[in-house]
Amino acid sequence: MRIKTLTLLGVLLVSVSACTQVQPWERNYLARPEMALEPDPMGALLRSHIHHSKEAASSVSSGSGGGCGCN
Amino acid sequence: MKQIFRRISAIALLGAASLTHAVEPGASAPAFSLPGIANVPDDKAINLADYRGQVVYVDFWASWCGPCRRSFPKMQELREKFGEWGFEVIAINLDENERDAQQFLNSHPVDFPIAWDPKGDVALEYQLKGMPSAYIVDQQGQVRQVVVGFDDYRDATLIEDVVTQLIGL
Repeated sequence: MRIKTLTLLGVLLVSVSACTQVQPWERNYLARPEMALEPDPMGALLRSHIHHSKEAASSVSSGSGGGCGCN
Repeated sequence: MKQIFRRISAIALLGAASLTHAVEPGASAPAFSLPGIANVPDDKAINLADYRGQVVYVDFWASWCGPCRRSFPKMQELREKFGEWGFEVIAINLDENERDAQQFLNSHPVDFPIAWDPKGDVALEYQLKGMPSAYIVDQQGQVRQVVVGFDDYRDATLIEDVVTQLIGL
């Protein structure tokens, strides 16, 4: 009986989970440009380039360059 | 208690059974019957079974999907090129709102039949991995190629090669 109750509890716990996978065809609103993490990719690239040049350091998001902000 | 346990187990089993596998090349294409919303006489239903004996390009699309927009001219071109050789395109729209689909079709005019699957039932059955997704179905109703996404050059060339081979040109 105890095992059964535990199993029942386990099944119930799994089924009350509110997480669901958004299917590819349900991404209507998620596909909108304003829903992107970065709404302006070109601007973000430029900002990141300038930022890393000014900081005289590079990270994974920047390309090569020595700090002048010109390459 | 025993009865409740049985019922819950049944629900859990049903849930597990619904996790079907994606449709891969070699599998037979799941049958569907959907309302036609454009390019069909009197908006009658579109049945995949009616196209047995033809090579069918089953495409899943939505108005909000960017690559779908690029795939439409290519699908129209394929139909014009291979239509007389027993080739047809069925484009299944997955918009919840039919008006969105009609607006898209006004700006992307095509001649092939458009079906509508607002709840995504057929999409779920095919287990789409992305948008757009296309299934090239041969004369015997078997899936021969699955195309996920749409690339103007790579996918377009592949689709044309497969279709040419299947209709035996």
